[in-house]
Amino acid sequence: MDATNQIVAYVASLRTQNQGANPSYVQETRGAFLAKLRDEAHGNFPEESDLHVASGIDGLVDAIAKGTAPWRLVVLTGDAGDGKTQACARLAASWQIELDPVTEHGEWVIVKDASELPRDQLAGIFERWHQAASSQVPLRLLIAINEGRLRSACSLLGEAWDAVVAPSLDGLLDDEAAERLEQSSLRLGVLVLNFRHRLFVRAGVRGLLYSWTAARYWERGVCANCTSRERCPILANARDLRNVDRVEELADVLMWLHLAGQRLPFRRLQGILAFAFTGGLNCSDVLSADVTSSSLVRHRYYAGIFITTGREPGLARQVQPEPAAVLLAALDLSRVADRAQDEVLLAEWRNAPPLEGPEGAVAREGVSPEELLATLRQRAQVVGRSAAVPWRRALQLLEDAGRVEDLRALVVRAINRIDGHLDNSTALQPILSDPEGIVTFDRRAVDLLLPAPVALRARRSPAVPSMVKQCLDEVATVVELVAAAAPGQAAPALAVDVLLLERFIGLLDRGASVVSLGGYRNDLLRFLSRVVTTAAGGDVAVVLRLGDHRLRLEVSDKKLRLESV
Amino acid sequence: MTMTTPAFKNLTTLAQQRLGIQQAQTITAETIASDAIARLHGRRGDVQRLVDLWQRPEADLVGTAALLTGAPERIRGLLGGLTVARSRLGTPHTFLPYTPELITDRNVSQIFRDMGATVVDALWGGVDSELAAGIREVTGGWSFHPLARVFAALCVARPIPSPRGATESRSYLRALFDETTASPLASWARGTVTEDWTAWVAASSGMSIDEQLQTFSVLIGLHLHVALQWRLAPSGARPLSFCVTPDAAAGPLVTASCNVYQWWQGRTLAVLQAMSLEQVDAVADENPDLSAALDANDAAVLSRWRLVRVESARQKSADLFHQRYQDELTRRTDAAQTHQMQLSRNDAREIVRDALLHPFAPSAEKFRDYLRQTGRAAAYVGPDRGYSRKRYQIDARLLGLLARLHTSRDEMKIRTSEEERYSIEGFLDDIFDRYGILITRGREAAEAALATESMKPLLRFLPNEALTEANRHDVEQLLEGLRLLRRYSDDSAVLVPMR
Repeated sequence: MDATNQIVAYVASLRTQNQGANPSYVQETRGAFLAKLRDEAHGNFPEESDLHVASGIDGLVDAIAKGTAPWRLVVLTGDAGDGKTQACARLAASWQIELDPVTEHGEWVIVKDASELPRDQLAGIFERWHQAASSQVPLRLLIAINEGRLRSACSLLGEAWDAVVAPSLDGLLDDEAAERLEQSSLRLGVLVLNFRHRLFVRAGVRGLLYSWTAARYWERGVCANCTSRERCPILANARDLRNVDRVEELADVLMWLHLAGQRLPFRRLQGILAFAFTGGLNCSDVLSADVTSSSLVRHRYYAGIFITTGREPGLARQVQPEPAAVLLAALDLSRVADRAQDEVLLAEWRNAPPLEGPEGAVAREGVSPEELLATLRQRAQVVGRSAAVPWRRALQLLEDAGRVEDLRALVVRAINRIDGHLDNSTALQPILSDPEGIVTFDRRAVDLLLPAPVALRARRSPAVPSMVKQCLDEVATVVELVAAAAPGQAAPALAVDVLLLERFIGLLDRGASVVSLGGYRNDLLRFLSRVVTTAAGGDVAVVLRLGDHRLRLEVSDKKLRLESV
Repeated sequence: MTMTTPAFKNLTTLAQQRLGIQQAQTITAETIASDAIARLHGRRGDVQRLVDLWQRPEADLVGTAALLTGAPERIRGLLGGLTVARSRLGTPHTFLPYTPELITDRNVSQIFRDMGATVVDALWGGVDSELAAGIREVTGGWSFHPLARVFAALCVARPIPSPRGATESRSYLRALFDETTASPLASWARGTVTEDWTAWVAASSGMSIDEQLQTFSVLIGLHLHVALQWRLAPSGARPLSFCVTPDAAAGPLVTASCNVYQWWQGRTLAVLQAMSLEQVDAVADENPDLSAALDANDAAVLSRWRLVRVESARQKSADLFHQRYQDELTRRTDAAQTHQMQLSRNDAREIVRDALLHPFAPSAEKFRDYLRQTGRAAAYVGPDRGYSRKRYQIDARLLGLLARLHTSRDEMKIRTSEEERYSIEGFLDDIFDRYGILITRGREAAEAALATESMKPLLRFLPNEALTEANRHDVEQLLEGLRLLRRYSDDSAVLVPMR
């Protein structure tokens, strides 16, 4: 018996590119759509509470609901899909009231999306809030608002803008400023949660997969009697992704994406995960007689996450991947041959051929060696948490706050290596390749002689007040290496993200060339140039490289003097 | 009473004044930047010792290590990297302007063509302006560049007698900016140009010296190019360049970009034609006999126009005019007789116009060249090598500059209706409003500006919205690759502020 699993329909509706479907991530349509699915599933479908992914914001919502929150104004700001409206909806649900654009309940006024509210109406609400403060009338505000609208509304906020809201929007706040912000927040009773600073990837992946993969909705439920269950990649994904190790591996991939500059608000995270989970397929695709088992392997989560575009072979319709998948192409080594690794992968496959899922079907039916290797390589990138995979090593260094010294050492060593110093110094060496030499061929023969080694320190930002941190679960990290600067000068800083770290690891481990730094060369150039002009106080000599010789250039009696260093 | 012989004015000079180009000569933007730096700081340098060092390095090196094999070649290579322009023999003419001492004081008018005067006078509002003071402070810091410190010590500073150097009067472009405060060009200069340089001064604190110099030249090129587009545009139209990314594959987007660029090139000739006709009418207005001749429908009477002088430095210009006029007159009257038609006044005006244009046609070539050179300097006309059709393309240098200017501006000066001023949408709106750089047709402000009657000639070249959205996607990817854009969601991407 072939059946349609309503969980698949639900997860597919979370794919932001899933055209034609009812997007259940839209708060206004979610309730009715879920009710319909639940009805069709004859009750074998999770309750709303089961689908909810717990987060730190729940604590704030509970506190407001119970009347224990000390805040007069709570601002939820960020981008579309961050969960701002959802937080307002949970609060309204806990009070058992309807959520309108502006909802009043007791002392609280909830504005679920101030970005949609006419400017005058928003101004009127803030006017009431200011008046309430001076007349001791209890009035509290919970406002969800996009950052752009919040900035344009700065004049409505009065003192709170400078003291609390503006600093909360700063992505590079340091500890001292965070402490001041905390004091101001408490004094004025204003809390700003900037979701752009939120790092909810790991917790989000765990929560979402936990809610989607319970066996009772799959092999112990509607899929039990499905004729395609043996080859179904979605079912295989559901089985795999209730395993803690597989969940963490997939979370690693998404963390990498996040720390490579592609911030993942909840909706985006959910969309990418939903695409990986379903492989872009619906039940009808798997049930189609035209689809071969071997082609279904491409829709396993570890391969599906790399699908970027185009019509999938064997499928009657176009698969619509999430836009962020393009960025994941950097991790997709399916077409990159590494003979030693390929032999290991093939040996593992032959020695322990899989029995279940589409892989089992492939083992039985066979597939071209190229296709098999491509899939095995993709699997090796995602499955198993080997530190030998460069992107994982870079991720671990960046993510683990305790290893910030290791990170600093690696960056310094890589820069020194670019400059031709092969030792393990902990500071930038006195002889520094001319920064311009990194991009300008003519100047590669030139070095700069700094007066002394330049020490760098690692800095993480933003720092946020503790009560904000509680609500945001984790705070997104910007890691920078900072050199000392002369008084009055801004310290030169090099922002280190996971991609740059990966390239540095490539330089150190595999002897990759400076060219592999790509767009980061300019960043490095800018940083080193500023080290020369600010950190070294401009007291720098020019050194010419000539074979094994290094020659200092100076002018003497209108002649150019060359002396060995 | 003596009658003066009627004369046509020199069309090249008139066109230079009309277009705001100081000299219709081929010149690189880096050289323009050098001249501007020298004028701004009021000094140049005697670079002969550097030239000598390049020519005979072995003779000008001292010290024990100077005898090492390969040292002279390395020094020569290093100087090569500092060189901007060379003579035909390969000798360096001009060097990167890290300090005014590296900017030669010889053959100034020949090498620099007084182009720096346009920059100082028009773009920065003169050497004494507040803006110029800010730029002077930033560019003064370039002397800390290590290479500048070594090589500038070999050059002797030479003060410039007057801040403007060879040009005492206002530059042509400044004259245009001042002409009428209500003109679109003047308001563009007061708004965009001033705001851009203010933003550049603010942004420069986060840049390396080489990056400052690069963005400095790119911004000069961009302003000179867009200013020329303003003057070339037909009445009521505005600058517009449909830009693709440098690695865009051949297809409708690239074709559109090529066509738009070609249209602007064609405008140089159209402007000269219009000016030529203005000259014909001006002479006719001053001389009733010549005016009457235009209505005579008689070759003998019309040939009186041959007597009109042509003001030009070259006698050849007058000869060329006379010869072309006679030939054209004969051809057209013969044709009219054959077809039993009359030469109308308009026909006669066109004959004189085309004949007058003939000796000055090479100027249109020079203006086209200037358009290309300033576009190349702004890093948005290319490809820079090979024989490919030139087009508007936005490369990493220009994109980097625009992104940095955008994030260094006062938020309220960003020209967009987006509330998120630093969003990619705000950026696209702003660069269209300021420079006419069109990336996508999916923005309301740009579409409204294109919907006017005067923009129709350009509109026909542009691809539809869906295609240009793909172009926007490519540009966003380029920005992300340069790490200038941070994506917060599929719908939200914000330019990263400079630190």
